[in-house]
Amino acid sequence: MTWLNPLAWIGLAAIAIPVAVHLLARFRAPRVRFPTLRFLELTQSPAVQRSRPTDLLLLAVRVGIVAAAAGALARPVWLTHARSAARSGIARAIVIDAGTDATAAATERAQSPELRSGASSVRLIEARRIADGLRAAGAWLRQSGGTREVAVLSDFRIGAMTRDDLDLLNPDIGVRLVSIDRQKEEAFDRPPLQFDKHRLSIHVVADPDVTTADWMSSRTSETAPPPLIRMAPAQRQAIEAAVAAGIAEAGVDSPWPSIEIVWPGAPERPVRAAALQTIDRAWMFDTIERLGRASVLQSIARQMTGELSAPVNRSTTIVRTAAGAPVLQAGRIDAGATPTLTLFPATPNPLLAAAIVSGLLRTSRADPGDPSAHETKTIAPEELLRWQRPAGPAVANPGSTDSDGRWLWLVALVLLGVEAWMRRDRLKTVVEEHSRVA
Amino acid sequence: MPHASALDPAVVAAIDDLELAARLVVEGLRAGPHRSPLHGFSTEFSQHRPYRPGDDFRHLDWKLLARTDRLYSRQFRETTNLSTALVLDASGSMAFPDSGISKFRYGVVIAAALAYLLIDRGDRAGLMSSTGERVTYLPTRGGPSHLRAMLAQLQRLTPGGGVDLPRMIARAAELLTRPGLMFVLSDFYDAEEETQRELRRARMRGHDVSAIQLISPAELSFEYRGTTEFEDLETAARRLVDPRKTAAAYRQAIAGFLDGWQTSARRDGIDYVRLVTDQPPASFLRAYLLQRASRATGHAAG
Repeated sequence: MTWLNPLAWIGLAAIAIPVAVHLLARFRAPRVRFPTLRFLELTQSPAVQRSRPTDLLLLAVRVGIVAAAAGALARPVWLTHARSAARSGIARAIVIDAGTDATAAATERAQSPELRSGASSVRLIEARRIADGLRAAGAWLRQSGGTREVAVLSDFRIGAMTRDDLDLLNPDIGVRLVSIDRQKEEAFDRPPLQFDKHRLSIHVVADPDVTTADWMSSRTSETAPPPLIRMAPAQRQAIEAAVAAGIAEAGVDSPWPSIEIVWPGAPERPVRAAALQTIDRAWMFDTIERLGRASVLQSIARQMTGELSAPVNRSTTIVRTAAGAPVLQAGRIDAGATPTLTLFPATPNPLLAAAIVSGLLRTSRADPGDPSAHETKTIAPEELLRWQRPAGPAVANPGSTDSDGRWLWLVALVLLGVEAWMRRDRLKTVVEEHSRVA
Repeated sequence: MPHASALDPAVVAAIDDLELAARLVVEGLRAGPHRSPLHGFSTEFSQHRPYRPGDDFRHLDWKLLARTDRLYSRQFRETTNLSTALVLDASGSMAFPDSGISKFRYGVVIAAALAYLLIDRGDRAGLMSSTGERVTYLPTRGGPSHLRAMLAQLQRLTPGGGVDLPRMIARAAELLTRPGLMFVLSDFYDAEEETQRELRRARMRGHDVSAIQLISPAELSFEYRGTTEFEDLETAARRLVDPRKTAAAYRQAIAGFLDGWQTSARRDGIDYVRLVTDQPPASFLRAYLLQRASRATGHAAG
């Protein structure tokens, strides 16, 4: 058994109260003033106890009440096998760096006995950025009891994480940094860039010592399809101009995932809104999460004070004004073979259009613009060793209401009833005896 | 006026006016179909007088009837200036029980009735009592004012503390200048041997000594239940007793004590009366005086 609030045992000092009452209010025999005791001497009566046996029993019951109440306040936890396992074991969050080609190897390593042994509960978290994974791990571990630990599986390329990222975890959470080896050489193709009728293809070879890129330009008659943008006819010119500006600003023409933007005033907006479903795809979550962090969108939202259109149901708000009004909402529409991430701007503001398109381009799932994904140098092992720390002592689950104190309260309640009955019965007996003597 | 014999002793004892209570008791003696017991104090023949209806037939002078054909009653020494000392124990043990009529109150009523009876008949009476260290003494005198003084003194007495009963008896016996009557009213719990010795001495001085032992029903029956703490009324000593285990032995012991007093008194020629305080006072006096009258008649006849 263990106690969630052991300081409550100080309440046992209250046992002094019923003991004092017992000593001070002991049963007193009725006193009779008698002419002489000489004939009583001759009887040689045996010593008579001042106290009745029932008085001691009553004292024991009262002491039991105080002890049960103190025990209940101390919040006992009877350690069953499951509870003991939960307390004695380790809650371990395994963060897998999904922003690297070593992800597959990391995922396999996460299943190894080395990372599973001794753990009473394990949570696997895949994250493009280790910091995001640590944040999610910390949130999960704060809800767990026992010994808590995070294991990060990554190639720890430079830029993957910093020492400050560990501040996202409580100090008592242990940190293990498990390096995953990656191929020394990696070759990949960046998505082709389309400039008017020119298509630029780039082949990159990443080497720990030298990174080379071969590019090839070819002329084509096709132009890359622009993102599907639905707008009111009156908005066409402004929107197209903004989209062009956004593409130019981003400088990347990568394949679009299934994303559409439905502006206020677009004839299809009511129909699209009616068909809206809640988002349930990981790439959609990634997209709206990164879009929400876009500083341009945040800036525009802060400046917006005009009347906004009504919010759309079953959607997720990506950006809000300071007053909480949604600026950009997103949802899922299942039409065709591929579900579509549908964006609903609250206003046809051209600045908002440019910011959305620019942000979308940057959040494309196949984002080749992130150089750290192909970084060949890794964080020094000695540095990783310094960042690691052991787990702190086991803690009780703070949100746990698993205390068994309610049984001790029940015991105290039953004893209270017994005490009341014993007291009434004792008083009745004393009154009867006094009556006979009188 | 109701007869004292029909009055509960508690009722009589509850009458605050002691003179009234005494009178009720004495009137109770005169009432009833039986012969009056009021001629029983003296054992000496004093004179004849014509028979009056109600006179005790035992007192008719049959010889004189034969000689004169007239009925005459013999009167004994009823009003021959008899001196009587009333010795009343006012120790703490006489205050028992706390509720109802105490032995002391009962004794006060008896003493008052005796004083009333004696003084009303022309005799003299005195009082000796003691409350702790303080001795109360009224010399033997007669007359209504002395009776009132005795009754007032009896009324003022309060039981408590110990008593030197042998000394009081000795002193009372000395103060009776000539042979007279002595009534000692007590429970006789204290100084048994010394008390019996002084009673014997008083008897040997020629006094007619009566020992009236007062006892309450509770002391005889000892009907207590459950563990009880008994506190001595005189010494304040306490003893915790389980009456269930000690009642039988107690009753035997107190019965032996009372019988011992009776035996001792008879042996010493002392009139002994055991007076349980649930008896009506008039009934006791009637029986007692009749008993004395019978003895007197027997002596006179002899």
